[in-house]
Amino acid sequence: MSQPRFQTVGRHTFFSRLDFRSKLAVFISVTVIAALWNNPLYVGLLMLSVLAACIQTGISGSYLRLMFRVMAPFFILMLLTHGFFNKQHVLRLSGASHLTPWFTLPTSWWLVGGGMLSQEGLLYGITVLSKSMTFLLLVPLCVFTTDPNNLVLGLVRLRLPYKLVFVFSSSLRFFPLIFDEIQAVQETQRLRGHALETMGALERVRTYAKIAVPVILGSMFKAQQIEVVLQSKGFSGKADRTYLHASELRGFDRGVIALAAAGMGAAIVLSAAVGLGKFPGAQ
Amino acid sequence: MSAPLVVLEKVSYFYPGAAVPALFDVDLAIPRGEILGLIGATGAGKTTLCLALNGIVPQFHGGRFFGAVCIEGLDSLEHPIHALAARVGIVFQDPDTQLVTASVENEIAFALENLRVPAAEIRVRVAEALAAVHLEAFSKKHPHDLSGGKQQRLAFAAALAMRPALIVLDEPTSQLDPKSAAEVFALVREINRTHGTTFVVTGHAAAELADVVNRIVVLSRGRIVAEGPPASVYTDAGLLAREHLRPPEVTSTFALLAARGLCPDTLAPVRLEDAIAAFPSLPPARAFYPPPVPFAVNGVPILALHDVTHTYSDGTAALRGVSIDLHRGDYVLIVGQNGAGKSTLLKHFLNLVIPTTGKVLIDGAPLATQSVSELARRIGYVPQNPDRQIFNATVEAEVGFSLTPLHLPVSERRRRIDAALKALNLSDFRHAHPFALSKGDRARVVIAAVLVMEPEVLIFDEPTTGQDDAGARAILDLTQRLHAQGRTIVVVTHHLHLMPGYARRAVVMGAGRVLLDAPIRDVYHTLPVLEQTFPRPTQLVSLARAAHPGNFSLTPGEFAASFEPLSGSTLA
Amino acid sequence: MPDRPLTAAIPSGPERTVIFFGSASIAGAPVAYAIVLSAVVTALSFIPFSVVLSAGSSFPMAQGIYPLMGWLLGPWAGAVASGVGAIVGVFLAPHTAGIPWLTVAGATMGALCAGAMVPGRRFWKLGVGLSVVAVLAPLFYGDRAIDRNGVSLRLFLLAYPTHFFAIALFLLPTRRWIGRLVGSPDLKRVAIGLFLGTWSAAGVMMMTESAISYFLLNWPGELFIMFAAAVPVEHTMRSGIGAVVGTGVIAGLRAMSLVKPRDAVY
Repeated sequence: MSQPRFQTVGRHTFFSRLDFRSKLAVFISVTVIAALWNNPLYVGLLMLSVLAACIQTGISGSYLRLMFRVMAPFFILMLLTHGFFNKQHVLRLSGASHLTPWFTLPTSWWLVGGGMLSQEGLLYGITVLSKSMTFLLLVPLCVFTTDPNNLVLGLVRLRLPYKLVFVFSSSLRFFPLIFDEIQAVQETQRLRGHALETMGALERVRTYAKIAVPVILGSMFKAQQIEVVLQSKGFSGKADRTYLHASELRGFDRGVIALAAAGMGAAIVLSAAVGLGKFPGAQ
Repeated sequence: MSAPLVVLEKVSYFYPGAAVPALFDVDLAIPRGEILGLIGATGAGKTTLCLALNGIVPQFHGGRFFGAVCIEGLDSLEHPIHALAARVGIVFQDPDTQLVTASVENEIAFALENLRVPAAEIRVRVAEALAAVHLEAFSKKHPHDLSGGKQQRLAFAAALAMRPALIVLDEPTSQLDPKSAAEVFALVREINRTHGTTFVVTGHAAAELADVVNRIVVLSRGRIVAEGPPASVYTDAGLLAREHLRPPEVTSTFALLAARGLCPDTLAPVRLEDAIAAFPSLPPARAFYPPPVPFAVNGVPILALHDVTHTYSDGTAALRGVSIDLHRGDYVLIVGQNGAGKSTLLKHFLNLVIPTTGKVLIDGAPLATQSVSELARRIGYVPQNPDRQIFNATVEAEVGFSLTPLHLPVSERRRRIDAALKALNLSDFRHAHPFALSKGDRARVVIAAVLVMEPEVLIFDEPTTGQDDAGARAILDLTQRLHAQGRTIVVVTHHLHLMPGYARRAVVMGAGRVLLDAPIRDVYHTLPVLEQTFPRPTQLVSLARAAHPGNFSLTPGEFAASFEPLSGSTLA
Repeated sequence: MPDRPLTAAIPSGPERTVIFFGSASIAGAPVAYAIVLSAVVTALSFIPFSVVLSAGSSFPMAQGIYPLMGWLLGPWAGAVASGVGAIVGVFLAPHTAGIPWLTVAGATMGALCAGAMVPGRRFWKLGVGLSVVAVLAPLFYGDRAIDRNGVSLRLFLLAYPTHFFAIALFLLPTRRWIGRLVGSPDLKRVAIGLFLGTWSAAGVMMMTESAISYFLLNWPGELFIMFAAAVPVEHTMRSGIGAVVGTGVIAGLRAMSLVKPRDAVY
């Protein structure tokens, strides 16, 4: 299994130059809007906008394809289950008295014969799919376009406790080490005659446990040494410290934050007042 | 004369709950600009003393502390650790755990940020530190992407950036290959010369310490038992024997020469250059090339690589056209720098990777037809780090873990476990948790767990790394016993000086190729090949070649025996 | 060379008072512990436990470990380790995280629930807060499913018997009993405690995550039939991982003389 790496895009765009706090504001705003809306067109356009932003900022096509590939089974499941089975909820959302059939399975089919794929159910499935994709795409958009130093500093400037931020940044340091340990442990087990691929579920639980246990114990052992190292480097966990890198909000950062907040506020107000983003047919 | 930088006055220390002191009545003064070597067997108190120099002992660990440690006049118990951190930098043994940030420049800046050094000043010091350790090109790299040697240099840079008066290096080279270890010692010399920084260095690398340090202190069970210049400490044979310490090879060689009456007792060099310079005081050496140990090849090789090339998915050509035969009953040493292809070679023996081209055979049949787990019953692999190999809650369960897939009868399973525990002196620990044992004992548990499968071939990957001399010898003696039982042994190690007397044959790897595959004596003395992968040969080999071009001695005993006896000597 | 006690050796130097001026800790657990365990959580997030396919994918092994963080470090430090580990996993590979912020919230919650399972009245406020969430989550979920989607009450209850049992274990005095089991010197009792504790903590965690997911995704009643088959198997495996791994870890930690975090339960 190849080791996941922290990715940072190489392209310098407006979005990548933003401070992490601005991106966080966009993340929160778009997440709230995506959660709020149920109109497949609106949510779909929102998702496509986020996707377009990902492409424009340089998120690799291969990564985006990977993401779609991994999520494809879930999306197909959502489309089919909402399309075939979501009746009461979409009727309630649309205010209609009956569903519009899109197509019906032949009655001769065993078990599923006569099943009807409704237009409303399908549209709702598209809504759900678009929401999920939006939530997912926001992460690479905001994180892959941020230098890890800037990310850490952004969290500090948000006045998160420095110890928490340090745990995060140090996890990025130690994760590759732990990942290698897991691979080494798996390899060693094979070298001691244990073939994972031929095992049943229960045996696999026991064997997986025998991977996690030495990794966790080894990590706790290392932790004691790391604690000594931190002490030796004068680490106290206090936020009263200096930083090699700087992170300041510039004019366009503040503009983006204001825009994100205003957008979110407007979406909430308009949704409540005039039903903006509601499911088609809703009153 | 200025006041000493560090003063330890009647320092004793008991870890929490311990009845035996880790340090006892230690009196020591370290003047500014000195490079002090601290040696002693495992458990002597070296690390405890190092940690006492920056207040970690006792502030972090607790326990009972007696006496005083003063650094630049600051009492270590009256000032917080971070105040002392500005004066004492420390580099630990394990590169993995002493780098705590996700980039090289952040690592160097980390302590400075903690000490609230202004950002502009941090930038200056980061640049200086990177230049001092020659890591300028790696400033944005993740520490995990650096080699072990570069990681230690980074740790050094991080300590240096604080501009401390004292830098402590606690066994900084024990996990490094010889080239990286040499770089660390070179840095110590250079920084001491250019910055006047005081150093305390602990370790088992006698030759390197003798070359670099001004004074050596010997610790034994928490007490200082000797101190003095390397020339006096390393020539005290009684002291070294009592403390299970190894002097530089040149020292033990000349001690043997003196015992044979071939040189005066007072001639006791600790450095290679001094030893070579002393040759005019010795009788002329003669050529020495004993016949190689006879070895009968018995049938097809048990393991064979035929013209194997392996290229990883990232394009790294790890092996290039490698052909090696391992015969039954042989004892083979594999050497080479990091990146030479040793690990990839071992992975082919174990069927963990498939060759890009070429064949790997076991008893003449393709290895690939057997799964890794099936092969494990014939080829036992003992990796370097025992802590990654422990999966069970008792020693007995750990040793028996390998037998579970074999579905042996209960009596056979019991017999094998008992035999393996006995062979490794672990019978008394069978119900103990492996993590409750010392690191040396844990290493033996792992060996027992491999041995219990009764493999025909045993591969030991860096078994001597991190061990003191006694520990390393104990493991190699075990390999010798296993070899005597008829097993085929393969050892990968950087510690060339340990292997004469054990391995019959050596394979030198470099840049993915086999540079030389010959009897160990020939390999050690083929300097042009060895120099491609090691910074220098063993001291003994250098001595032998300097004494006579035909002198192929491998051990101090052989070298001493190769001299013409003095007339009237009782020894022939 | 074996250590022999020195015979009546008395240090000649004056004994000093050892004061520790402070180190960085999170609720009594050394920061370094939170760092390495969060890295472990991240790494285990990438090991899929391919036993069941539920909602289109298998679950990561880390889900069985989140509660263990609470027992090893205490609820707050454990929540940091789990939560940060989940965040890093999300940042490294968002495509594996489902709804990313929900995964992080769930990880944090699993550790908090487990860490709150202590004998006595420690963390009683945390326990009350989590109990409120544990009650509200299924009520909210059930109300939406039954009222909006026409899911029958029977089907809803059949889909999640494991989680309801988990919530009951958490709300009742069994919570403290589980804490006593985990702290027991008998490893068999520890294993039982860890199994039930993971069942309970992970159950509360998954029910809460499901409630929020349902708010966003509103799946129809037919999926509940699938849950009825898959959830018990998945949850049993998750609890099994927690028990087996946790017992091994606690046995090892008791054998090693490491500094024990203040709020650790083992």
